[in-house]
Amino acid sequence: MDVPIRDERRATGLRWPFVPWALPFWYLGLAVGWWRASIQDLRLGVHAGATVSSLALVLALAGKLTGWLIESTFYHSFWKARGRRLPFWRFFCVVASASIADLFAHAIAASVHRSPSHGPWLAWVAGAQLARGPAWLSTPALRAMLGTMGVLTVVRLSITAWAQRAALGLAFARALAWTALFWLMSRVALFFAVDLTSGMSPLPKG
Amino acid sequence: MDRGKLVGLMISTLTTTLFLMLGGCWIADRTHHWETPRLDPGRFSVVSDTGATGAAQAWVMMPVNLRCPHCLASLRALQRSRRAGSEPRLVVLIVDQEREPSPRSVAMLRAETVWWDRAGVWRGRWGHRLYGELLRFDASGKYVETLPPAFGWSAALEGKPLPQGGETP
Repeated sequence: MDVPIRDERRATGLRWPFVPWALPFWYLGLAVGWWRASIQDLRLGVHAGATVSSLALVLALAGKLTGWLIESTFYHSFWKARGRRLPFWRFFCVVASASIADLFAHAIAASVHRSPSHGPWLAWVAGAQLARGPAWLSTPALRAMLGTMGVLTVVRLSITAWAQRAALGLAFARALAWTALFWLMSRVALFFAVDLTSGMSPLPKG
Repeated sequence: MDRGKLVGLMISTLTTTLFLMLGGCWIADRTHHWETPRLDPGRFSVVSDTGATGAAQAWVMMPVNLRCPHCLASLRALQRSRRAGSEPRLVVLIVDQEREPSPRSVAMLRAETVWWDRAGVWRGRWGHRLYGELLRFDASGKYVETLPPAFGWSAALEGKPLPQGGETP
């Protein structure tokens, strides 16, 4: 049986990051951020200057929301199976909020696309895909898998691990190890999916 | 065991199982021996061939699905960048189509040479999966390479010499 929401504060050290009335505005801000990032992504996917359909944008945003829900559900279930309770909606709020790190990575990647002269050091921050020509990243499936790996990814994983540490009283290193393992599994799954989708057909590089 | 713990265990197990199944599918796909593509009219049904029948210097084949507007748009873009009858000669391959394509849908393609992949060779034997890609063949029908969809085809086809064959993943 689930612990009622009113008892969560006593059951866990994970608090809401904001006062409750600010949460809708916070989620709205995140949605606007991802909406704008999706416009950039979809324009790159079609061709520069093309208009992006609202349906594609809504689907992209729905995909993001679904991803956060799946991630939160997975961690919630994983710890529940071990007899620990990770408060779902608070953790969901942390997962959604931590995606700001990805938004920063997006913004940096966009600036590098506009001005390729920006230093290669940005690849360490926003993702290895920004580095020029690492041969091991030449396959699109590998780029999809590891291309976004950078300091901002580590920040996002650390925030996720911190939330688990706060909620469950784990050692931070242990929470980070689990989080890193699950992140790696999700990237490997993405690699499998991209590679299976294309089969022997080559994907566009870039 | 309480219900919440059981549900958590089931979701964790399901996730792990899905991951392992996906990995298994990937291993099976990567270790499968796919045939190297070959321009062989004997393996396909020729549904339209109104072009010049003289020997071509090279060929390109574009697989299209008649229900896919995106790859039909790719075909239009390729056709706009070429003159009729120009080299390399274009073969439009209708794929993932169980019933014989109607004359109307074939006419809609506005292509000189249209083949129908009745037996699913492109997907099932060659292991290719992306509509709108371009497979290049030399004059003898030997496979050269595949260009990804939405590639800068016109430049590639005009400026690029034909390299030696070999399947690329």
